[in-house]
Amino acid sequence: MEQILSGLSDVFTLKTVIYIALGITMGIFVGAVPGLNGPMAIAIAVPLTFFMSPLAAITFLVGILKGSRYGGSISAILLNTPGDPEAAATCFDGYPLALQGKAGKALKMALYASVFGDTFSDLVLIMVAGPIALIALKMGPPEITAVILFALTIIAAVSGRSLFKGLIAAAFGIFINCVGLDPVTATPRLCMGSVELQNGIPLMAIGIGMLALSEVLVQIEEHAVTPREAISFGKDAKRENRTVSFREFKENLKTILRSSLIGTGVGALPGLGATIAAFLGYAAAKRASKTPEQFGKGTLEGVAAAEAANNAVVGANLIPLFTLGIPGNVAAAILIGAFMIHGVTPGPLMFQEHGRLIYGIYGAFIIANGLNLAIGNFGLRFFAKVMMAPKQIVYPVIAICCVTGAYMADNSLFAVGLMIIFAILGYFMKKLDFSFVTFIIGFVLGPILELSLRQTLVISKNNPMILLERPVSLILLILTVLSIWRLGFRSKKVEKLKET
Amino acid sequence: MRKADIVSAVILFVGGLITIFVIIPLQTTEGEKYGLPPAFFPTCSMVVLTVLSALLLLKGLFSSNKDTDPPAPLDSRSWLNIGLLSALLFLSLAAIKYLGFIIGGILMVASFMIYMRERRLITISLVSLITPLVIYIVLWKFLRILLP
Repeated sequence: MEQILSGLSDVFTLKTVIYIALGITMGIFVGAVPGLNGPMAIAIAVPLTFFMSPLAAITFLVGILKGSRYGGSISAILLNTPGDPEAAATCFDGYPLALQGKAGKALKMALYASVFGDTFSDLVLIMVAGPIALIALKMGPPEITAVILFALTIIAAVSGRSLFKGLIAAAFGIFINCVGLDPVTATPRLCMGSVELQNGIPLMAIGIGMLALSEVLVQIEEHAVTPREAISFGKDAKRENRTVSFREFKENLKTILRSSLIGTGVGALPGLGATIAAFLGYAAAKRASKTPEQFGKGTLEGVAAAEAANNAVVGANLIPLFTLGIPGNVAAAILIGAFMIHGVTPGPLMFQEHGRLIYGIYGAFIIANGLNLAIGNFGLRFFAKVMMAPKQIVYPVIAICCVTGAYMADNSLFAVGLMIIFAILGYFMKKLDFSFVTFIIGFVLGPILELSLRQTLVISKNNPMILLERPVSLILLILTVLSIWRLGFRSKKVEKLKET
Repeated sequence: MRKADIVSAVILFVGGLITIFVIIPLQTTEGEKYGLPPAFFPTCSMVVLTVLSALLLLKGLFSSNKDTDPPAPLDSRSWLNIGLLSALLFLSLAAIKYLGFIIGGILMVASFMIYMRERRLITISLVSLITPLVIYIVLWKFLRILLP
């Protein structure tokens, strides 16, 4: 109880609230601009958090993530171009509503549904993370090895179009993590004679390069153009077309709740992500609706369903991170870097060692949702303008921010060089459909996998059969094989979902 | 895409073999007798990568849906674009190293803007000048970080 109260008291400081508000504003901004996204902004912003307290740093970054999820809906509704891939399903009904002169109403419904979904999923995280962590604490090295192998397989299978390519990317990420000093013997490994490489390859160089700069390279090639004029939602529209009444919200509450549940379920599983959640939420709402023929023509229900589902992924995505130390998506992988910078290792031990921080983060999540509602409401007009920022200015500015971020992360130009190399690698991975998400998660999980595998072999006197002798690891390995079979060779469902 | 898959699978397969048999033995030490040698884990990951590349190659060679195959993801325009942008990035890095962050940054932002077909001289000058300057001043004044 003392930890809960201390954690909450840490959040209710002006400084922390300002950081959260800054994060949300930044998040809505990057979410609203097509071509920019939350994970990209988080990667660039992590080096800025060196100078913050761990609580302020994490909440600032999560604020970016929460803001960006809602921000994506602004351009989806006003431009018919999702600012974030996660907001693609919002276009279906958001844009037709905007064409009917109800852009303000659609944006408000998107905001309310987003905040509801987000809060729902945060509450689930708060309720389930502790008990799961207690179970996770009882796991030994063989179980941890099996959990990581299972998580990597699932992520590899659902993050791209091909299981083989996903697993190749994961294996390559794990291999790249081997560069540096060997964790047991402390001898240089794969350093190519470079002293700088003995510290290993910094996660931020990879994160910024692959998430931000590579996206800039892709966008420049695709001649990203500044959006055409957006649909106006000014004061000339009737009041009922600008706001969502309580009655309208109540009418959609069932849909929002259903989508929040779907989003939370999808988010808790590693790898699936908000885009799939949004489409599943939208499809479920259409199936359950009394007027399914209205879907796609401009119904508030469609906007609410997609937005509640994609935002409900945010909190739930942190369940595997907080309880097992396994990032469910790329944003969570970058958050691991931020936790590590501040001396906190995500995983079940975090609940024992940093209980106060955990409760502080929980409190901050709830505050962040309130701030998201307020900033989203009052700043709507501003974000709608920002969305039109010229691309030939935005991308060069992001490129120099990437260089600055990579330099700050390691205080060396060598890290900047590495960041550029990984940006080029990321460009080719995106073009050739090798999942860079799996690569980054493989890189992040590599050291834990290596350590647990080595410990497993040491305690079993180099007998790998121990993995099959322990019931939990055996079940997880069977699940790994089954998921490879189902997702890689048999099931076309995920492929179809992605193609939609 | 099928052709791209085959080419990338061949590159990964050959690269994997070279890494397993040449690079890892050269770049790792023997280690102690207790526990696993430092080469164990990199070798494991590379073996997985090489085997999967071989499977990807076989899948590409014997793929049945040749007609519905999506177009090649990298054409000559893509190669030219990534080549030029990579050169720009490394030249900018060299400029930052030898001329400092502000001058290097100005050159980097300006060259990217020109590459993105911005032709208004005043916009190019203002953005390329203001951005590195603001970053430099903010980081130094507020966070005490001195950029090169």
